[in-house]
Formats: sequence, structure tokens, C-alpha cells
Amino acid sequence: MKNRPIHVKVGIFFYSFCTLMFAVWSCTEELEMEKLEPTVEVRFFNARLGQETSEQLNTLNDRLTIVNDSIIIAKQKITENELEFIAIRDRLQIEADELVIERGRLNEIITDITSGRVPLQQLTTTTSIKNITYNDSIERYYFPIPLDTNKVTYRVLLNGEWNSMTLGYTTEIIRDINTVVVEASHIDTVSHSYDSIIVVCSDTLTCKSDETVVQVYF
Amino acid sequence: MKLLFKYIFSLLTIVVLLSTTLSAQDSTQVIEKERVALQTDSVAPNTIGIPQDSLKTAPKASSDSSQLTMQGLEIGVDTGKILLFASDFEKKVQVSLGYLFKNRLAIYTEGGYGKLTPPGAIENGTYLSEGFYATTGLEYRLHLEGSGSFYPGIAYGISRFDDEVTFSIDSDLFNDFEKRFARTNMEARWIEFILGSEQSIKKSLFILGWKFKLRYLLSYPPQHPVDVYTIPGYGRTLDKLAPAVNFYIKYRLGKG
Repeated sequence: MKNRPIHVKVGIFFYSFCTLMFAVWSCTEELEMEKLEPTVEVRFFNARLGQETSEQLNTLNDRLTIVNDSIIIAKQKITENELEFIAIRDRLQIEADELVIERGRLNEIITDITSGRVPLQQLTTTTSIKNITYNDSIERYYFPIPLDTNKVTYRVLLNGEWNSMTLGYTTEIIRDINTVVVEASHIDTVSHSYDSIIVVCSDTLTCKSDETVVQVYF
Repeated sequence: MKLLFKYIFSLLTIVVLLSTTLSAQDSTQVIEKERVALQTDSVAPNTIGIPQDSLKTAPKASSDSSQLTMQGLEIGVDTGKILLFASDFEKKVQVSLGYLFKNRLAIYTEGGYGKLTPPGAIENGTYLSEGFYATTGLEYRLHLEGSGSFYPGIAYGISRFDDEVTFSIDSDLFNDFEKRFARTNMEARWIEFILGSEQSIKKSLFILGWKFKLRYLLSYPPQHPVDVYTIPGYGRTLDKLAPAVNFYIKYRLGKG
């Protein structure tokens, strides 16, 4: 090596370097592929139960106010040596405690309804041969969007009841760094069997799948 | 990461070639000095009365000086591409034909075929680019000590190729979505700036060499939605500039 001309040394260097580069490249680990299928976020709100619960809560609060006022009066009577009010006060206090517990339960229900946490049981479509089964109550469901069509009808089993909604959209193949993906946009409802559906898009002009939330009220 | 390697590779190449250029200039100066010395040695006897004609018929000073007048056809093959035939993502072959004028100026043409399936092109699919290409250019040889030479050059390249993209997207609810699209009869053009070096194998007519090429893409047909990823003969379309190194062996037909 010592006696070789510089251009031969450079040639050997290049050859070694290229071989090393090839070896490093060959050893590069493949990363796990993330999910590439477009999905749309769907949230379910039990509007009927929410309305009923709100009404119950209002009635309960009214009753609690009356009971608390009565307890104050009873306590005042007791201080005026009207001892028969002791039993009344104790009974009212028990009722007030029960009402507070019930109010907490109703508030939890309203919180769940507001957050959209519902126990979806099964999802399928009118065209797919597969279905997805869910085990837990969650707030946000992500429904896959079929890419070989521009319309999909989802069938959803919730609280033992089947309902459906049809969404329309457009698709476009795009290159995303080293993957080729299909982007769904202009998402909107076509028809449904729920009380109401609101499609919320961060960009109302495009309504892309990853920027859209379908709010379902039943 | 691969882009980083590419830039480190380019940087190292430029540094090494600059050092080689300086070395080549020194070597050329040495040869020129030897020539002057030979002429001086030849002229000296003239002053003591030796006829001028006898000097013209005097034998050449050395075997090295005879190589300085070498010219003729050169045919070659890219050895690096042959080695890559063992890989499962690149099948390339490249041959060259050139003519060396008076051991200085070489005009040459390289032609090749490439079938490229770069593994990182599409992670959820495959990319295939296949076609023929040719470059034509000029090289100017600067001779080094011994039987080696260093040369800058410039060339114009053209490639005719087809490509094909396939990809698939898995689904938990629907059948997996698969798509394929192919584009045919595409053409790309580029120019190459070349710095290279070569060396005769034990002063025979076989020559081993390498050349660094910096290619500048002039034109290619952009495609939608997935653009052309790589062009046979040029390389990746990621940048307008694409560095490359070729290793070759040549055979020179005849001497001047």
C-alpha cells in the first residue's frame, strides 16, 4: 500500500467506502409499518338519556334545596326548645344525604354522555364481510373508510340496537414520505337512522378524514 | 439517515479528489521536467558537432515516454455494476466504447441497462424502474507517474425507461386495498461532471479505473400521484444533483 500511487489509493478507498456503505444500508432495520388506512373519528352522544338525566337532576336539585331549607328551619326550632323537630331534622338529613349521592350519580351519567363515552358493541358495513367488535366503553371510535368507493354505510350495534349511517367522501392517492396512502376528504353524511348527526371539520373546505369528527346523537 | 450518508460521501469525495488533483499536477510537472531534461540531454551533443538528423532518429528515452503517444479504441465494462448483480434490488450492466486521441483527449460513449427495485422506495409496496441509457462525453487525461492517469470530463446522458408502482393498504373491516400503476416510454436527460483516475495493469493494455460523477438532472417527466423515484443511468430524483462512483476495467486496442 505504501508504494502505490495516490490515484490507486483513492480508488481502493472509494471501493472500500462503497462496500461499507452498502453493508450499512443492508443492515438498516425495517421499522414497523403504522396503520395507513384512513379513518374518521365518530363520537356518540346519548341525547335522549342526557335530556332525561338533566330533567332528573333539576328535579333532584329542587328537592335538595327544599330539604336543606327545612333542615335549617328544623335546627332553628330545636334551638327554641321545640324538641319534636329533632326527629324531623334527622329524617331530613338522611334524605339530604341520599339526594347528594343520587346527584353525584346523575352528574357522572351526564359527564359520560357529554364526553361521548359509550359501549359500542359491533361495527360492520353493508358491503364488508368483516366486522369489528368492541369490549370497552370509549369516547372516540375510528371507523375505517373503504378506498374503492365514495360512499359507505356503517351499521352500528349500541345498547342492543342496530343503527346505520351513510357517509359520502372523495379519495385521492398521495405520496407521504416513503409510503403511498389514500386520503379521504369532503366527508359528509348522506343518510342515517339516528336522532341527528353533526359533521365537524377543522377545515370546512376539505373535511379530510383525519381532521373530521362525526358527532352522532341518539 | 441515507441522505446523511449521501452528503458525507459527496464531501469525502470532493476532499479526496482535490488532493488527487494536486498530486496529478505535481506528477505532470515532474513529467514535463523529465521531457525538458531529455531534450537538454539530446541538445547537448549537438554543440560538439553531432548532425541534427541523427538526433531525430534517436531511440525513445523510456517505455513511459512511448505511452505518452498512445492512442486508439478503448472498450470497457463497469465492474461495480456487475458485482451488484448479486443484490436482489439492482440489476445493472454498463459498457463503454471510446477513442483516445494522442493520449490526451478521449471521446467515449457509455451504454447500459438497469432494472432497479430500491427497497426503501415505498414501504407499503414496491417500485420498479427499468430501462436503457447512454452517455457521451469527453475526458482529458493528465498523466501521472508510472502508467496511471487522472482526468476531468463532461458528458451528456439520456435514459429511456418505464416504471411501475404497486402498494397495498391493510384494513380491519374491508378487503385490503391494492393498486398498481405503470408508466411507459419516459425519458430523462442529464449532464455529468467527471473526475476519474485509471491505471494500466502492469503496463499492459488492460486498464483499471474509477470515476466520480456528479450528475445534474436536466429533465424528466414528473408523475402524479407517485413521482419517478429513480432513473436508470442517473439515480434518484430526490435531488437535481446525484453523485455516483463507477469502477471499470478497459482494454485499449492498439498504440499510436
